[in-house]
Amino acid sequence: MNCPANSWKQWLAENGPRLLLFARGWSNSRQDAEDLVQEAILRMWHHQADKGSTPPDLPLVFSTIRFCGLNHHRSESRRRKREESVIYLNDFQDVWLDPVLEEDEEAVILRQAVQRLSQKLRDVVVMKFWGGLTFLQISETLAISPNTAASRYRYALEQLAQELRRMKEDRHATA
Amino acid sequence: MQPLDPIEEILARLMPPALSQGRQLEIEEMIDELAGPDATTHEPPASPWWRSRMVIGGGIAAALATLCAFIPSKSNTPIAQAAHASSPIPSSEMVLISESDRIESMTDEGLQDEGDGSAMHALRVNAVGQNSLRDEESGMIVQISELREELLLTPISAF
Repeated sequence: MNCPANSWKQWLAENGPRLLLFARGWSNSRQDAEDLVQEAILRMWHHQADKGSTPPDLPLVFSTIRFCGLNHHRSESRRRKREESVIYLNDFQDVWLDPVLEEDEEAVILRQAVQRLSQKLRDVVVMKFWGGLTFLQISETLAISPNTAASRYRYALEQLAQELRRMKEDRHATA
Repeated sequence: MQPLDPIEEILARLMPPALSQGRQLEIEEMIDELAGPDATTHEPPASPWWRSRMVIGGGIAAALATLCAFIPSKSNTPIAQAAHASSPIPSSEMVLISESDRIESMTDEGLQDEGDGSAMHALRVNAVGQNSLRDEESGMIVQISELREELLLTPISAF
């Protein structure tokens, strides 16, 4: 029989990056995001104990990260505001996404735009695009209807397209 | 298959970075600890103080066993000679007639934080293992007692 620890490690290696990306939307730094991922995995382990200790379904983990993120936000909102300002000024290397190609201007612009999306839109985009979830799974994770999930996704893409155009125009204007 | 939106094509050129190596290892260690002794790749969870106490327990047991072996040597009996020969279980002249393992005391040490958010229930147990051996030649019966202290850690999954 396959050892649960090994199957969980394999599951972590496969899904760690997408969980980390989702957690970034609920934290102020990479370290905080990794804390969220770790906390979610710990909770998931106990949750799955009654289910044969198999690795959990991805939508459930997204949901747990969101729950953990909300908890942290509630308890530390004042400290977060202070930290946000510091991170914004100093942590410019701390990016959420890496371009696959070098010198991919559009990708770099969109990376910034994704980070600036509102929480509601960004959660859907991350879960749909990098998490590989269906709109039905996203709707269950966020407790919204599948139609709302789909419309948030389309709206987010429109916003990203606008942002891309605007930033390109700005760059060309200054060049 | 639905064609990709131009924005989706650009998004596809962005990949989420992996967890940092340190964090990846930390989570894997946490998984090993959560999996407990069934995990095949790592040792069971044991903190240094727990190991040191086991060593102390083993030390006491070894000292007692040595003491038991040397006391009869003063009378220069065949058993003492056998013990001097430093064979852990005496030769065929010695017959094991009984062995017992009893718990002397149990102390509830309460909950212990494992540092990863999980908790363990700790129970300290003082146990005595006792073997009785008979020397076939002289009929003398020798008892060897082994004191040991153990700490039983039970993972707490729900409060």
